[in-house]
Amino acid sequence: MRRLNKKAQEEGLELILIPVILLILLIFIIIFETGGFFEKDRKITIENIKISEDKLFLMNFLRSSIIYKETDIKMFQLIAARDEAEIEKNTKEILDKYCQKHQNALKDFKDNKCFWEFFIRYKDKELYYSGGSYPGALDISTSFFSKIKLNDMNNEEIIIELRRYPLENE
Amino acid sequence: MNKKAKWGFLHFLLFTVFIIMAYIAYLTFFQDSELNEFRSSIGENEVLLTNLYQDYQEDILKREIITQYSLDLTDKQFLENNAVKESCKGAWKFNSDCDPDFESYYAELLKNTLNNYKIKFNDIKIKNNQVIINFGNLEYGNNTRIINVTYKNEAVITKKTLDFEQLNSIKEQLRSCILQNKLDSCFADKKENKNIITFNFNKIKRTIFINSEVETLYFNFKIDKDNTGLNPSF
Repeated sequence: MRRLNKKAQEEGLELILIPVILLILLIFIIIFETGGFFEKDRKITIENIKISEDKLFLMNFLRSSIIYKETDIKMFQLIAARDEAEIEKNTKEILDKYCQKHQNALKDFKDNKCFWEFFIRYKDKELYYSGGSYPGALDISTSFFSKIKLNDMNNEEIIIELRRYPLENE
Repeated sequence: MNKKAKWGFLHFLLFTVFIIMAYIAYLTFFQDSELNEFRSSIGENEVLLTNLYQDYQEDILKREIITQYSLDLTDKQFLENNAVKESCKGAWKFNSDCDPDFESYYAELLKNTLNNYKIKFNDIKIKNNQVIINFGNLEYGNNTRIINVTYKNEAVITKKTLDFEQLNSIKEQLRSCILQNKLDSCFADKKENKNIITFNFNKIKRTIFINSEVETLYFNFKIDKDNTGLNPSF
């Protein structure tokens, strides 16, 4: 009789313990997975990531090949040569493409996705170009800003800066 | 025995569940824990790494730019001096300081130009008509409260240059012409002014871009037929 009771006790415990353990596990998994309760303390901060794309773009911009005086040269060579008319023409061409969703939209800017400003600073001069879609009032706080310094052939510093203002639907 | 095993398993299961729960609670409730900080900083760490890689790419770009200027200036000096030292005034003379050693002279000019830009490099090699400039290892680091990140990579820039094998073959052909006393019939395009012969090679050329000027330079050289540095056989 005593033996039977003990067996009943053990089986009863098994019956209760296993579902209890599984229930506790399930509750913790749900809390852990949904995470809403702790969300405010768990956010992963990503700062300045927006700059990366534009800085890589600036590097590629300087490396781009252009035809100048029937010769294939790099954009950084043209900037160092300070031929302002050619710099303007080529910069606008490259930047307008960069700010298009599709390259095909270049002619009428139908598919524009940003407004851009481009600065080239020599020792004693600043060149300024802009293009793309005008977003109305410019909001500096939402702009993407990148800068690269390079030296010209005479070892004088040139600074190029890109400020890009994305449109809402970008 | 079976019952004991069952009980043992149940205890083990209970213990495991508590360990897992304790770990989750530790991660969740103790925000200042090192693990939790690491987890919440994953995004920042990724940005940190990306920025270090970009710093490396920017430095490579700066070296590329300086290398391009330096190669243009070197090509100009090399071709204007007819591949020999400036003191030779464009005239070759075998077995003397004016005996052209193309690769080493080109490398010397390039070193001097790079030094003007105050950029450090380990060595310059010329191989298979390519100039290889090794700028050594570039290392970047950044520390946060959670991790110390270091990015290290080699900076080597390779650029196409003059066909030095062709230049060496021209030099050997010239040597052979002098030794066989056939200098007058050596190479097609040449001009003679008294005892100085100027040889022109319009197919060996470099187009360079210095400041805002595009310039195409050709390979030429002069030789004093009475003072070649070799003894022709008669």
